[in-house]
Amino acid sequence: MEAMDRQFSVKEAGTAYAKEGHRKALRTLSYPEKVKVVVELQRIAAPVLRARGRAVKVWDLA
Amino acid sequence: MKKALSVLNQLEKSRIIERYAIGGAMAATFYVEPFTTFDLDVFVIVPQTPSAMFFSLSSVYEALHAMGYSDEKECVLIEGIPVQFLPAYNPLLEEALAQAQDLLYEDVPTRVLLSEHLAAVAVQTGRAKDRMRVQMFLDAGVLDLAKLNGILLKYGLEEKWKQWTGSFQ
Repeated sequence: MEAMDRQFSVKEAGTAYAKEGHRKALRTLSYPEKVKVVVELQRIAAPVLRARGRAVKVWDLA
Repeated sequence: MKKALSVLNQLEKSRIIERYAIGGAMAATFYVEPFTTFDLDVFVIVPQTPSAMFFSLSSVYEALHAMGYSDEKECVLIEGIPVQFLPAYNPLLEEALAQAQDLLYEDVPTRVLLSEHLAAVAVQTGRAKDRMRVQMFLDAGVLDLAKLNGILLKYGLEEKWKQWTGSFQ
């Protein structure tokens, strides 16, 4: 049981480390690249927000 | 975005606005990882008549309407981007705008508020999302704490900052 706990903890730490690494990588993007990511996030969030009755507009970068 | 920023530059060139800088979530995104937002907040200084009793953005809206852009709730939709204009309504925002960082968005010049001013404005505004933004800045290590302390002291925000950062630990 102890070994399982240790294994889980290492896995968790690995996931957290990977997530933090991903966040750091995102921070280093250029501003225009970050804006593209924001628009991708808008595309993901918009249907959920609209279903909740909030009118949102996904940016048109074209 | 590039076209919207060009329109803002055009407003500044034609003296409809004296100076502008990107604030809010899109300014924060310049310093930290991107996160979801749907508005481009733009702080502006608008030429005012000496007798004006309050900040009016009507000249900005009129100019944009004349250029064919329409309102969308509290924003103006400029080249596919909902832009919310906010007047620099207090000394902290005036300083933030004066010291905003120049940058190029692709080949278009623009400005964003400094991270220290964004943090101070967040403390002053005090909403839950402002608190989260301060936490993001701290996590990312993008604040010059000496510079920030100077701003917090100048505008009487140091106690609130201590409360916030104390509760983060």
